[in-house]
This record gives sequence, structure tokens and C-alpha cells, in this order.
Amino acid sequence: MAVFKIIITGSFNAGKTEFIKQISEIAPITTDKPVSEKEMRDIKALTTVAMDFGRLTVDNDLVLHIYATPGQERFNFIYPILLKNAIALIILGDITDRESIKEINKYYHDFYKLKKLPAVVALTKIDKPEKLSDDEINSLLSEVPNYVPIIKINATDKEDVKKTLLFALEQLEEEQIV
Amino acid sequence: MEKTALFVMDDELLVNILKLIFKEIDYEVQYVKTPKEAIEKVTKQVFYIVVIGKNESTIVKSRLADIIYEKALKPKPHIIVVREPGDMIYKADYITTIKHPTFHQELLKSISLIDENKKIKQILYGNKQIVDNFIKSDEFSHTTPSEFFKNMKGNQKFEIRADNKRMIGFVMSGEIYVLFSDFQDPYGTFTLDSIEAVKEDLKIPEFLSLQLGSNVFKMDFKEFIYKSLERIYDKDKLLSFVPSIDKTIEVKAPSYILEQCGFIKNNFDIKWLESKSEDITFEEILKENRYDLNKVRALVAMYILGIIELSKESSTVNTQFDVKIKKSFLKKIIDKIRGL
Repeated sequence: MAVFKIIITGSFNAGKTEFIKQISEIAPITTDKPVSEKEMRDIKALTTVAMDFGRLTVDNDLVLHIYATPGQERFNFIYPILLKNAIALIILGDITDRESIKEINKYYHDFYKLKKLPAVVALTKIDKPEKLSDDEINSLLSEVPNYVPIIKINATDKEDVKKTLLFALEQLEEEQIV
Repeated sequence: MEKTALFVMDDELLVNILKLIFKEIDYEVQYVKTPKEAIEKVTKQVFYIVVIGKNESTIVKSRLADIIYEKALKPKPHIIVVREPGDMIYKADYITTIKHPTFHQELLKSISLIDENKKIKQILYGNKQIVDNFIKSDEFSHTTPSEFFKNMKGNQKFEIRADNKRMIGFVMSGEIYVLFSDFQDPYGTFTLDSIEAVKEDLKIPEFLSLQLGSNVFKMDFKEFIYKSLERIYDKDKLLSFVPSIDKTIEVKAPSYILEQCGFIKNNFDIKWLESKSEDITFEEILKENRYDLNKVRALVAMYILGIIELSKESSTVNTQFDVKIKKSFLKKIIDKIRGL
């Protein structure tokens, strides 16, 4: 069975757990849903460092694991394991929080140094009145390359989450067509 | 002063041949079988050349060369390493590497195969009467040895023909039996580029009725394949038995089968191999093992035996991203998310 991973990162309270909930077929990892021994080894290794984990069965031979990582330096040791078989990176930022958005630059570059993944920056909490202006956001995200899509989403909205994932994965499709 | 050479090797025939060569160029020759004896010698006497071949120790030749050079009295000797397949010898200005000669073994083997009429001996492993009537069909097809044995099922009789030689036998209960062969030995067929071959089903009653003497060549089929590949020293020739090495491997056989095969157990960490199933290409395994010839043979044997299979598609490697995923997998994932 082939297992691929999607990595969700971003600052505390940016909506990572909510994001995973929208597409994962399991809630917590202690679910009764059977997983293979091989999957279980990876999951155990990664969830012990306080990551959220979601799973999506694509077919009998193909499974997607979704990991949300706090993106803190103390978890750096786990990134090489985490990034094995990873196919996309989603960086979440709280659109009402200047620091949360600013940290996106660092997250992007930290991951890029380890593995070049198709990435999407998704700014959450768009329903909050105190959201930052587009100009301010652009200026705060000056270190994220132009080709990385920046979108605004509600992490509790399944359609928004699907759109974010597709923006990332379709970059691989485009690359293959080329 | 006469130059002195020290041989560290246990192939006495080769030692004798080398002695003749060295004496022709006025060397005095000394000969030991173990590294311990070699070190004792080089710490007491100056040698101009030390020749390291296969010897009675497990220490790798590179390391032994290093130790001998370090311990040897000054002026230090030059070291000639007789490299065998699988040996990794590093470069140094005091080391020369030569390929292990095999002509003396080939010569002995060829002589042993000459019969009393000075013709090549036909090796009849079984009863002549059985051999003559064993294969009924004459529908021989042109194929390669690897293809032929890859498609070999249990309970099948076969005849292989090439270069006016024949091999007749059968496979039953995971073992190959050779009743007749006039190839140099039963393992020789894999060195051929192509063969004419035929297969027939072997029914259990026919098998039970065969009067097989103790001289019938019989071996575990998996070991037979690996031993046949051991006759091949050319990595490219070995890899020509695999249609494409950029495909992902899938381990199909259960762990206990892998554990039973000495050539797998000796060459790979079985748990590692199983954990890499569907996650690593044939080529990546070879690269990780620096194309070590024994590991190439083991992996090719696993492919021929169906212990591993290759994925139908190549892994798609993105140039823009460090992502490797089959197109079909990517499409399935995207379709799944779209449909959520």
C-alpha cells in the first residue's frame, strides 16, 4: 500500500486542527479504524511529538496521511521522517494576527531547505472583522516567492480546505504536463 | 640485493603460477595464508611487493593492505591486490589492483569435462531411458534464460537447447531436477544470450513413477537461480534480466520465504526491504548498495523468482519539486479530494 503525506504547518491557533478535521476520515489517532503495521509505525513516531494526524483512504492501495506540525524548532528532528513521502505543504496563518502571518516566511523557508514541496499559504479566520489589509499581508509575506499561491480560507469550511489542497497538488500535475 | 615478494593468499594453484612469474623476473617469493602470518613477516623483513589475494581471513583486502603498509618495515612495500567481484579497493599510490585470474580454474574445469574419447563429457544425471522419452513436445520457442525461468511454474518439465547442447529436467515442489545436461554445468544457461526451450506439465503420477537415482542433480529452485547468476560477473548483463530498473519494487513474498533464502538474508536486511516495499525503486536499492555485485545478483534473482515485482509505471520525479509520485496515484488523490 502506498502512503503519501500532506504537511500542514503554521503558528499556534492558525486553524491546523480544524483544517485536518474537514477532510480526515478519522478523528483522533486512537480510532478503531484499522491501519496497517507500516502506517502505524510512521504515525506513532510522529504523533508522539504533539502533531495532529488525519487520514484519507483513496483506494485499497493508496492512503493519504495529513500531519499538522506546530512548526517549532524543537520539533526539527522529526522533519526528515515527516517529510518522507510528503507531496504538499500547506502553511496556515491567522489573518488577524500580524505575527502569525510573519512567521509564514520562516516556515516556508525552513521546509523548503529540507524538501521542495508544492506549497500554498492559506490565511484563516477570514470572517473576523479585525483582519489585516491585503497590502499589509503582501508586505508581511515578502519572503514567500510569488509562485506560491496565497489564499484566504475558513479552516472550518470543507470546500475551502479542499480548494487549498487542490491548489497545492495541482502544481504537481502542472509540472507533470510540462 | 634480490627483491622479495610476499604472497598472502590461499589459492595454492594461483600461488604456484605467480611464483613462476615472479621468479622469471628475479624475485624471491615467500607465501603465507593468513594476515597474521603476513604481518609477522613484514614486521621482520623488508619486502618489495606484497600480493594480497583471497586468504584465510574475513578482513577486507583494502583494510589488510592498509595494515600491512602501516606495519611494514621501511622502505615500505608496494601492494598488489588481486580483486575479486564485490571487492572495493580504494585508490592509493602504494596500491595496484589487478583482476583475480580465473583461467587456471576454467582450464581445470574444461579438462575435467573431457571424456575418454577426448570429447566433451555428456552429463547424464538420470536414467537414459527416462531422459530419451521425457519431453514429448517439439514446439521449442526462442527466448532468454531469464524469461524462461521467470515463467517457470511448479510441476513443469523442460528442455533447453543452445549451441548444440541440451539440458533436460523439471521443477517440482520448489526444487529443480536436472536429468541430463551437456552444458558445462547446470548453472551455465544464464550466461547464454538466448535459448530454444520447451515446457510441459509434469503430472504427479509421472513424477512418482520416475526412478530417480542419487546422481540426479536436485536443488532448491530459488538457490539454483541465484547460483546461476553467480556465474555472471558483469553487472550490466545481470541488469539486462530486469526490464526496467527505474520502477518501484513491491515485495510479494511473505517474510518467512525471504528468511528462508540465504542469498536474500545474506545481502539485505529483510525488515528494511519489506519496509521499503512500494517505496523504493530497483535502481535506488542498487545505488544505496553501491551496485555491490552480490546484491545486484540477489535483487535480480528475487525479480526472476517473483519475490519482488516491479510497478507498471515509472515513478514520476518532478524537476521543480522533490516529489516522486506516480501520475496515476496523483490523479487518484486529486479526484478523491475533489469528490469529498
